[in-house]
Amino acid sequence: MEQSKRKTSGVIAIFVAFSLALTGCSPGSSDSGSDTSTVIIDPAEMGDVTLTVLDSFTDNASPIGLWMLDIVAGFEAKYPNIKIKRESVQDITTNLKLKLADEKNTPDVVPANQGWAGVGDLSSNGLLLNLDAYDKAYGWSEKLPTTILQQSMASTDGKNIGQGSLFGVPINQGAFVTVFYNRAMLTKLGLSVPKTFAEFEAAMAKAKSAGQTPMQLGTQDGWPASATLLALQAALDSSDDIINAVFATSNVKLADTKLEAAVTAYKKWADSGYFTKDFVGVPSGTAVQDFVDGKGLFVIWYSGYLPFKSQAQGDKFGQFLLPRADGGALTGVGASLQQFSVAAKSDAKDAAALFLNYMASQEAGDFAIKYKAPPLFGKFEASSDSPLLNDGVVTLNLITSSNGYLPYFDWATPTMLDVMTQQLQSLFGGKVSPKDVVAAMQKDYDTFRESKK
Amino acid sequence: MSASPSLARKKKKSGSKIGFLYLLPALIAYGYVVIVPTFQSLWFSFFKWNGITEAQWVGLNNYIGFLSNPLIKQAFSHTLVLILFYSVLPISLGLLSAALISKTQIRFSGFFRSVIFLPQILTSVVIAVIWRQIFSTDGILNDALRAVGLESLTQPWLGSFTFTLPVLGLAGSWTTMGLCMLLFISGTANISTELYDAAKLDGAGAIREFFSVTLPGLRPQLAVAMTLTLIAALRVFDLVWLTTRGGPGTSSITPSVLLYSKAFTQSDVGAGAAIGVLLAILALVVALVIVRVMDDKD
Amino acid sequence: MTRLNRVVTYVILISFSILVIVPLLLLLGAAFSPVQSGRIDLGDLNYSNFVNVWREAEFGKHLLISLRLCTLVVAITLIITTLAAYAIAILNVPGSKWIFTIILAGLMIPLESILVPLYFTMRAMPFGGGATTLLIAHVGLNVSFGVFWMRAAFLAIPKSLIESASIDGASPFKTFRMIVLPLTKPALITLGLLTFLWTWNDYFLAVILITDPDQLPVTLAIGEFATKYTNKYNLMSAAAVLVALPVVTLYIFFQRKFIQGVLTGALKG
Repeated sequence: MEQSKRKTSGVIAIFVAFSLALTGCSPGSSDSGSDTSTVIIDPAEMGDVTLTVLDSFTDNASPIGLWMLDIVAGFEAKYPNIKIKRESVQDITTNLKLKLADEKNTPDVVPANQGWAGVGDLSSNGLLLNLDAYDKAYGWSEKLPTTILQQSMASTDGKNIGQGSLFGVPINQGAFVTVFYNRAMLTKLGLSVPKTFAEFEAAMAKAKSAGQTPMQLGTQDGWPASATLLALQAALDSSDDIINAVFATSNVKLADTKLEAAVTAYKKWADSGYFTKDFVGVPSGTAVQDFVDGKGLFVIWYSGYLPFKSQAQGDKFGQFLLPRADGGALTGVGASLQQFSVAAKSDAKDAAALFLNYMASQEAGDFAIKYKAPPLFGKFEASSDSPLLNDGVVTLNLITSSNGYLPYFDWATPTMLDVMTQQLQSLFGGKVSPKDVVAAMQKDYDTFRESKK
Repeated sequence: MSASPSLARKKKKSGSKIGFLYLLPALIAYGYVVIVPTFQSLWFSFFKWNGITEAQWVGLNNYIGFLSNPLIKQAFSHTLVLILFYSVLPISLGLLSAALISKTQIRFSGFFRSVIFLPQILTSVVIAVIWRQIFSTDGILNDALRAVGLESLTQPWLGSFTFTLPVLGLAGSWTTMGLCMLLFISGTANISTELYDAAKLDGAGAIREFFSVTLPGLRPQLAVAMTLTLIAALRVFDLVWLTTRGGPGTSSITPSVLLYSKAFTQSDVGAGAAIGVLLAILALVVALVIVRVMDDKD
Repeated sequence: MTRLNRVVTYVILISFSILVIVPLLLLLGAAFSPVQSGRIDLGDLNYSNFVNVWREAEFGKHLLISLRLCTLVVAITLIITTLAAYAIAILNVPGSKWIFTIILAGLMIPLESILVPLYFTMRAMPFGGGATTLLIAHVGLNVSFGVFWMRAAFLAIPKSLIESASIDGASPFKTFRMIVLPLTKPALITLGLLTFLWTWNDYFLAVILITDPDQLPVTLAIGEFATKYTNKYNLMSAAAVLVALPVVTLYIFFQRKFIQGVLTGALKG
């Protein structure tokens, strides 16, 4: 009995020691990414390379899925010595970090979302390659609008985003927080496309009195609730305040911005019955699908992301950005649909940078047009055979000329989107007031900025 | 019987060597998947770690942080509500059924048994799909309310701050109800009729009969039902994750949902591991308390 | 008195059965419904949902992944747990009492407590993020119940049979194969069924360990499906039916074993 006791306690001791050894006395490593001082941009000099590209465009029938297929085919045709190996990722936020930390299997090109939850977090942990050297070589800073490129920047000390070094390149496809409208219904209601904020609200009132759902909305699944808030912020708040808040370029107190007005407007629309009935219990997918099926006058959603079955169906709708309440030049929350970065531990850095360059090229923009998706940079004419796409191009040109791109507010901290989601749901549940929402967002903001000091 | 003692001992010795080899694969798998991670969980919970860079020793800070963290308190308070639905309701119904059900042969008993037990073998994903549909804003419940003219009672069940958790709880009841019923019904079959006869002779009514004969006789089943359902309530993840992700707001978060979000979305691995340790301790306490209470009653 | 008793009995049993069956019928009805909202239309039964789900969500691929995973898990679990239980119950390996206690402790440890570190250890493996990770995890997790279950079955074998075999000069393995296993076949079958059930039905473990979208088991696939097609209730119901089908089929044929397994297993634990 004694012997067996000793034996098994010995076994336990081995297990414990083994487990500690597995993790190292303290878990994690203090590895930092390497620096590139020599960059190669001539594909001929790169030799034969296999580039692993990670992306989340798993639906091959969607515009972005088709776009990606064209990109890969176009790139391989242009640079035959570089082969692309595509990998899919399910949920960018959860798994990307750990994939990048995996030295043996890290992909070369990775999708990192703009903002703190993506680029900021990953670069401050040394997981992304600093692209300044490539920027100099390829001239991205000259060719691409600074307000867009800014969204892929982060400071090397890990304390700030929107400034410092470049850590990613946006693709030439844009996603705006846009108002879509049902053309037939608008005409039937005797309305025309709203040119002012007041006209927009009046249109919704008219739709309601005519028995139609003015705006489709579904917030049961959480984060989509923020889309409308972002649109309202863009239309009501000053663009400087938003940009400065998100990138922390100056000390902005949210209570001094028009954030509360935006939240109040959101609540007012809900209380006026402008949204889908019982929208708090409706998943966003249902609301958006119902809109596409013809129910509802407006929906605020991301451009290029409505589930149209065909171009013909898409052209039954139009899009415009919410006009500013102060009548100023158009501003809208817009960004590249996805920005890509190079893994710090990549073994094919030059080829990866070349690929990023290709994804931001005019050719990439042409592919976007081909699939009726709005591009982001370059010269484009609103002359396709799709009225919906033309609307998008018109918006694009307007925003570019007024330099009115605004960052997504949830980029301000890694947890901001969660806070906005929970607060908005609580707002509509009658649990908190707009002031409380602003206070909660300020608290999250302050806590994060504190941790960065 | 004729083999010499030393030969038998020799056989036993070599038998034990082989025996160890037989044990080894299971022990290795078990050690790697269960034992080592259990200790690692404890170890991780003493650090602040984002999963990649170096970890920072914080001792008991993760746990102390929980005491002042409103989310943790909320999550565990939700567990209490879920216990009502996963444990109290099904067990009560099960006991009631066991008391009322005739001890004599029932026709189609096999059929009833199979049907009532069915929810136990369905995966949580299927259960989530079923109940999400029933409680959706244009689902069968609201439809039924509208049909009988109770339109005003229709709700966005899974989007409302008041109803989401109870509604999910009901889905849970639906799952564990069958198990409790079967446990108790089959349990009563084992209580000897003599005890009932004796009680009747003593002039006991139906209620007294229940408390003095049925309930004590079901003690082991009760212990099992309580342990299983309490731990099931403690561990709820799938159902919440596949319907509301803890929303609206945080009105349906559970400790497991919090564990997932802390460890994998918010990169606070230490806190996530600490929640895991807490859950293990609670599960152990539940089991021990139930065993102790049940034994004491003897 | 007993007449009333019988009526009450049937009322209770029938009510609970209805409570169980109705939601399932709703699911089945929605699965055959041509309408997106899943409204049941008995006059217009539609098989296309199943076809669509099979093609669009590549359900066939995921069903196969789950099938392969579960079969392997069952096979490996049965082998290693019976061997281990044999060593503990029959061969009486020294220290087996302590080893068994440690194994039994595993029954009390909830999945949540080991998930986080398990993720990190598995990630470091060369096959991380794939089905093999899940395979190893499930096998490890099934050891506790498997050893417990088979040990109980083995202990029920009359000692005389085993002793006479060893007297006759049979090696431990021969005794195992020729005597012990055949005598405990029912227990083995039940263990196999329960292991299959638990592995097939798992979601939480899979959602954390599987990161490769091409290797999702079917529960995870339908979870993804649910987020992609929230409003297409008819499609989702069809998918749910497909996911539940294998297990329910096994259940129909082996109901007794399933129910008995869970009940007695729980009680003995």
